[in-house]
Amino acid sequence: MSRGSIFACLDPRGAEWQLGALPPPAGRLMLIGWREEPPPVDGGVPPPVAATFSRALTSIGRITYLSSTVPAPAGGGWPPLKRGPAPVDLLSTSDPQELAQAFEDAAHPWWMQGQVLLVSAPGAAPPAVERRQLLSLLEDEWTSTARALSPLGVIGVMRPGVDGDLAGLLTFTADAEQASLAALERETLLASFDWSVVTEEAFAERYRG
Amino acid sequence: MGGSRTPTHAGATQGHEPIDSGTSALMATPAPAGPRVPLAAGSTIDIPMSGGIPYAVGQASVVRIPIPGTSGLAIEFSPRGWTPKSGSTSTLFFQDVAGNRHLRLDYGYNVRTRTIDYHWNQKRTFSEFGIADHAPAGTAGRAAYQAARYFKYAGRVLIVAGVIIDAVSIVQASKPLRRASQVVAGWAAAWAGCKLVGAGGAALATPTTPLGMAAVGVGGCIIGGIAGYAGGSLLAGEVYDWAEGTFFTPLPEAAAP
Repeated sequence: MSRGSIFACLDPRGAEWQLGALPPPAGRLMLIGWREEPPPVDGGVPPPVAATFSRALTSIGRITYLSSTVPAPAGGGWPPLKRGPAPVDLLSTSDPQELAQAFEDAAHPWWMQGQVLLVSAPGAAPPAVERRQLLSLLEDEWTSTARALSPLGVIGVMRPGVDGDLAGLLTFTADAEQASLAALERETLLASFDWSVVTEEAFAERYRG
Repeated sequence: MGGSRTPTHAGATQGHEPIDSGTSALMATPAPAGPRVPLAAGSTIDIPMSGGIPYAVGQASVVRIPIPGTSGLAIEFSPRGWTPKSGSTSTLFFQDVAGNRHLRLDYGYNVRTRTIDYHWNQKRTFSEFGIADHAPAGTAGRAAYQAARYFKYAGRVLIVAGVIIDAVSIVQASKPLRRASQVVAGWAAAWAGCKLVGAGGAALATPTTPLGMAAVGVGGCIIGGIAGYAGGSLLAGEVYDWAEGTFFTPLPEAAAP
């Protein structure tokens, strides 16, 4: 028996998702949504959905994200970004259990659109991203600035949408988009959720109620 | 010998009344004070200034007002954690110190109603408030959202005004050190009073009405802050005067037996 659904929408256009100007000037953006049964009373990403996303993303490659977990367990001489008025710590991991913390970090709240996940190719080193680049990914123009991360080995960027109720995954190549969709579908079905790719109108309608 | 006297009190019209025959004077003495006359334009008056009220009112916009019995939730007007450059779309928060547990009054697109509305967002506070994520906040929520939005900024302006007034009062005081003691003690006591009375107010309100809880909590914070500032200043002044007028004389040394 299904315990809910995870669904995707390719090439969305709506400004209500709060994912900046759509379509993006470079690459392709997909919306990823979820619905649990019964509907949870809490906001944010439900733990089973977060676990599914974590397994799917780490199967694609290395994930780098904002973290308040100090010291970073996967540090290995990789210095945190502490230039500027406030420290910004990045954690890079291929461990899905570690990655699941990204959806629960109150210092970088997913539910306030304060989190960003950088997807690098499998086996790649953590991207040498600069503080200014990183913080610009949290603003409305993120789809424009994200392209600059491509030379650093980043193949995709995931950000929370409005109120953290959905995610936007920006990929820079068709291969990365296909790999992401395949990984999401596989892990969604393994977690006993329904999977579908829907239109933007159907995507919005899934949340009603 | 009889005579007359001139009764004088502030604001009264001078007049004469007969003095009984048993009253006599050895020498003429002037009346203790003449009638009060209005100040001429441009003249100054030495009124002691205090930034207590603007400071105490304003601090309610920045102090975490505890909500007893909620395992660390407090009323605030700013979010915890990262916020965008443009600011948060929420204006009223009931949250723990990390922001992990929160109920916030938000304005924007609501995925449940598919409209832009005033609604609640929450995480792990359902047992305290009984409000689910994305529940519409209604017209009361709209009014509270706007009030909180303006109070957040007006409160900061009031704090700055209160601090400036207090700083000027220190500079102008005949005893600057005494006045400085009063100001610092007033601020500290205002903070404590805000926390104490604000928490009491929040506890009085029904937990299922967060807007009422915020109103009573913030009101209590303001009242406690004003009372705390006044009490702290008064106490500091008394302590200063006592210390200033107290002299300690060392006892003479005596040879050991």
